[in-house]
Amino acid sequence: MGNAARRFNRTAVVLSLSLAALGAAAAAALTHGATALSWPQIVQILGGDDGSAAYSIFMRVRLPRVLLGCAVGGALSVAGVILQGLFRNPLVEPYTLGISGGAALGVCVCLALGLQHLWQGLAISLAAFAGALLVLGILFLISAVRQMRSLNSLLLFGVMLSFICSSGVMFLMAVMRLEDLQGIVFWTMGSLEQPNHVLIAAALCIAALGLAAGLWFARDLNAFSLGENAAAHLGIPVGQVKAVLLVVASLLTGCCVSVAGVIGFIGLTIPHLVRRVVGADHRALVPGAFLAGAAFLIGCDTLARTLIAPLELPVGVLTGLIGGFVFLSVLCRRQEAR
Amino acid sequence: MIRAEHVCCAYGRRPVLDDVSLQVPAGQLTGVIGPNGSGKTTLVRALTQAVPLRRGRVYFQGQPLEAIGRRALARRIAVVGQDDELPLEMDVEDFIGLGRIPYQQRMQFFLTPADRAAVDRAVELTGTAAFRGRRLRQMSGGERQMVVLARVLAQQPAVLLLDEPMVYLDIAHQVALMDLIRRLVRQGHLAVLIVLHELNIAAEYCDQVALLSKGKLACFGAPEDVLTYPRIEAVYGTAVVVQKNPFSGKPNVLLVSEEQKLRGAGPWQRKG
Repeated sequence: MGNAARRFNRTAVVLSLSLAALGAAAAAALTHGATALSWPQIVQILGGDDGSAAYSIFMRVRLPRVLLGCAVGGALSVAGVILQGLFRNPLVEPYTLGISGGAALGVCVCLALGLQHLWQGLAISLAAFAGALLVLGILFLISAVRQMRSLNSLLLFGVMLSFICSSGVMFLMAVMRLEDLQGIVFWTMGSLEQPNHVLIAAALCIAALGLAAGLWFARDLNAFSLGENAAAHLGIPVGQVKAVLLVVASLLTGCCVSVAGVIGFIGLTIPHLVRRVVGADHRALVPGAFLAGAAFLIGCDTLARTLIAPLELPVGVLTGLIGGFVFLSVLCRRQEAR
Repeated sequence: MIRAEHVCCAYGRRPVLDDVSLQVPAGQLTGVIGPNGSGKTTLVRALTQAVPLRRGRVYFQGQPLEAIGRRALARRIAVVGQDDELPLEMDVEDFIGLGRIPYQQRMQFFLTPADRAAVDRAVELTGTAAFRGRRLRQMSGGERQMVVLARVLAQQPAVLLLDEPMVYLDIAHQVALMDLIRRLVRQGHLAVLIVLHELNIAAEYCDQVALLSKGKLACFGAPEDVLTYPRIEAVYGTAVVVQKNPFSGKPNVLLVSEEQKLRGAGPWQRKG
């Protein structure tokens, strides 16, 4: 068997395993929790509303969380792959450009003004998205005015904007009422508890569009791995591709943060871990990271719901802990292997 | 094959290339030499439209470059740049396959038979078959440089522009790489322009040499005509001894240290 066939088989196996992991994580998430649901019960629930508590738990709590986990985990991972590919910097993640800082500031302003109950709680998500868009807008404005060609300059501006937003958040937290303070603290730790089904549907659509965009630009991202000049020599319209992919990654991040808060580490660790298995070819990396990110977040959310049930841990705490430790162990093994 | 006519480039208000005209014909190896900051890399970038020209034009087979589409140009001219990065986690075969990007459609997830044939040919020409299946991280500097050359050959270009491909290579790898490049020029009828710091390599391998000084073309011609003591001293501002290589008869440039110069009259005064 030739190398090409071996690589194709390996990629196919990895993608199939990621899909299987996503299925297993979703199955565990649907059946496990403070109240266990059996498969016959689930089949009965899928037959129609029988007015039971199990129906409510499945349709109003578990299924929406699995769908949202799939969307957010997948979208954050794809955003991470895109940004790491563009910047060719392994430490870049979806939150580096200050998108999450802007979203957090938006939520803080919303809570400080007492607008959180407007439009059945939709106001918080909208405020987060507006904050994320504001940061993105400022970033592109600075980039256009200063005619910045270097991505690293853009990255530096993003990091600085992130610090400014964090200071704004801290200021508002210092002057906030105690009950609002708790709201912002929990929001920054992230959660898949989202009662608004329209937002979940929107997140799924946007994640699917993000996956499609990642696949559409996979060839360009591969060329970017040689540097911007080399990509241009391969016929890639570097300026256009950079602008489009930055907007795509930022919108994906902004949408995820708006519906689920700041869930850390997924956009940083999942692309790295998947890259180690499938290699640096973005045609395999993008779908692999989407599936693995979705499976990882759904798995973490199931743990967050069940570890100290009936109480629930913020899922961002678990993604940070598990993702961080897995990443560290992989790094240590790599150092030993050298 | 590729021709620059009265090319002028500037970074801001600072002129970098001033009225440079040269031709890189097929089947010949053209060397570009000159001190640091003399405009060698800018010349390579000007030949691919990577920097805007203040004046002048570049032609590929008589056609102005701006009349050729971006992807079409990438199929004709391949470049190994000084600042190209290496995705160390990438498989060698995937890396060489990147050379096929100008031929690939969006959402094309696998190499076509034509892509595969081009990659196989590039691997065969560069003798990199043994590296297949390895990652770039696992290779030495010399091996990586061969793989980089295989990537640009997979582009199946008519013109190859190489900007200092010898950096970090030991003498054996330098000779191996230059032998390979000369073979490609002779057998594949490629037009190759190579930027070099090593004057002796330029003398030994190049059919014609362009000597740049402060953005201007100080001299352009056969190595014997360009690599003379007065020219080298005038452009580089340092004393050298220019002799003939006893085997090839090509110019051979020897360095003269400051200490030797202070000792008085020396062999560097035997002007080339």
